[in-house]
Amino acid sequence: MSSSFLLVNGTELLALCCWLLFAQSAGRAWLIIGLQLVASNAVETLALFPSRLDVSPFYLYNIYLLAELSLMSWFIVELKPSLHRAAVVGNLVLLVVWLVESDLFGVEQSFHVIHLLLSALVLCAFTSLVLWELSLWEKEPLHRFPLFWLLLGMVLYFGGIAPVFSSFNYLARFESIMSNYLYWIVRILCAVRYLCVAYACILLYRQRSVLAAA
Amino acid sequence: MEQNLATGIVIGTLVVVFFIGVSVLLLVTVHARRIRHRAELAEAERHRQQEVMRAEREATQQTLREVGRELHDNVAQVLSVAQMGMNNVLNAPAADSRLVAARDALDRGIEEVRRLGHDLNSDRWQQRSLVDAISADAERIERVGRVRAHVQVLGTPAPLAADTSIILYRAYQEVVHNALKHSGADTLTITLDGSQGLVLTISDNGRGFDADGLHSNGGLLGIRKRCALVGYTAQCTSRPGLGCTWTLKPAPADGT
Repeated sequence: MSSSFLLVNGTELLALCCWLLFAQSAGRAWLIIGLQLVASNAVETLALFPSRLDVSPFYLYNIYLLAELSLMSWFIVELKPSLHRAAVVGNLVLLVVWLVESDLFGVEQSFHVIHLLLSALVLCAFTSLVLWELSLWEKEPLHRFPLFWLLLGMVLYFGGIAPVFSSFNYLARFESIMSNYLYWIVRILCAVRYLCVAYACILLYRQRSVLAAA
Repeated sequence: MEQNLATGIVIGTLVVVFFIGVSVLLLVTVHARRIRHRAELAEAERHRQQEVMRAEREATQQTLREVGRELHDNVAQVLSVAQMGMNNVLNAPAADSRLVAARDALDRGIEEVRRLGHDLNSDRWQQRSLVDAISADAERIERVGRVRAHVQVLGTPAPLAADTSIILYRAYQEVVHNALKHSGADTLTITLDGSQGLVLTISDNGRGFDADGLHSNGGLLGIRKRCALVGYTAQCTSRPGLGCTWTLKPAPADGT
């Protein structure tokens, strides 16, 4: 638990601190990132103490899946308002998928893997589109943009977790040790994502400092 | 079977992450190349604009030189002939006092035409400095008598290229012309500071105006455009009732 704690909770906490210090007042898109960080920190921290919870960690994670999809869709729509309708439709369809999965497999027994996979694909597609648009219109090198790092973290995370979760429930049922090892891929991708968020916040702070000095 | 599945998942994840990484890297590289291309195009356009401005400047200088020469060699000569004729008439006894006044006016006219001819001749800037030209102009303004013009020279201004001098002088003339025509000022203070390049400051104590509200004014833009031709910036600070100050100074090296 300790290395897992250091990797996931540590990077999440780092990202949250960077956001609180540097980016909390940087506009609505950054506010959404902050909300997502608070939610993910809360879920990961609660999941560290399963014995003290009245509910299964799966319950927490499955609820969090919905929250994350909504927040990340909102974030994408803030950056590219023309995706508003697609995001609403995507969220509704995926809500139906989530409800069907809940009905079929229960909320507390397993991950809602189909919902997670479809969410990851939708968010990955949206994020790639925004990243592409950013590259079309921005006049400065992309790596200098805080948003670029946010989007890069998202596209790597949501793209990378899809293969892991494709047969996660199956492996968790029959090869729990192996599934635990495989889950390290998700933890590493999660850490990469939150390190990207932390770096984006620091970059934003530097840019704002330079602008203020000018 | 589970072993194979796990291996497949690891390989699949690596492939996906690698594919995403390479795509983003390509995106960043292509974007950087596009930026470089845009910068090259902008640089080429800037060079072209500079060439056009240089050609315009040369054509303007040539025209002014021709006009100056015409004034000096032709109009002034014709007026001199008229002056000689007048002098002959006035040498006769009992000359009409109105003729004397007309002759005096003619004398002043000839002097002004010659001065104008000299001013327009850019070749003359090889021999005289901007400080001399501005001092002479201030004396002329004082002679007219309506406005006091003080010239202060700080430090030792380094000599400027003839082109730079003439363009700055034209900008100075436009500022002074505006001040005399619109400001209602009775004092002009002209400072030439040679401590860091040549910084020229022209202040009047006239009625002033809201400088922030006049960004698109043709005259002000003209002054700035002239200065930009020779790598100078022109800054105007003014408030209603508080006069106006123009500062013409070398633009920073980075163009900001």
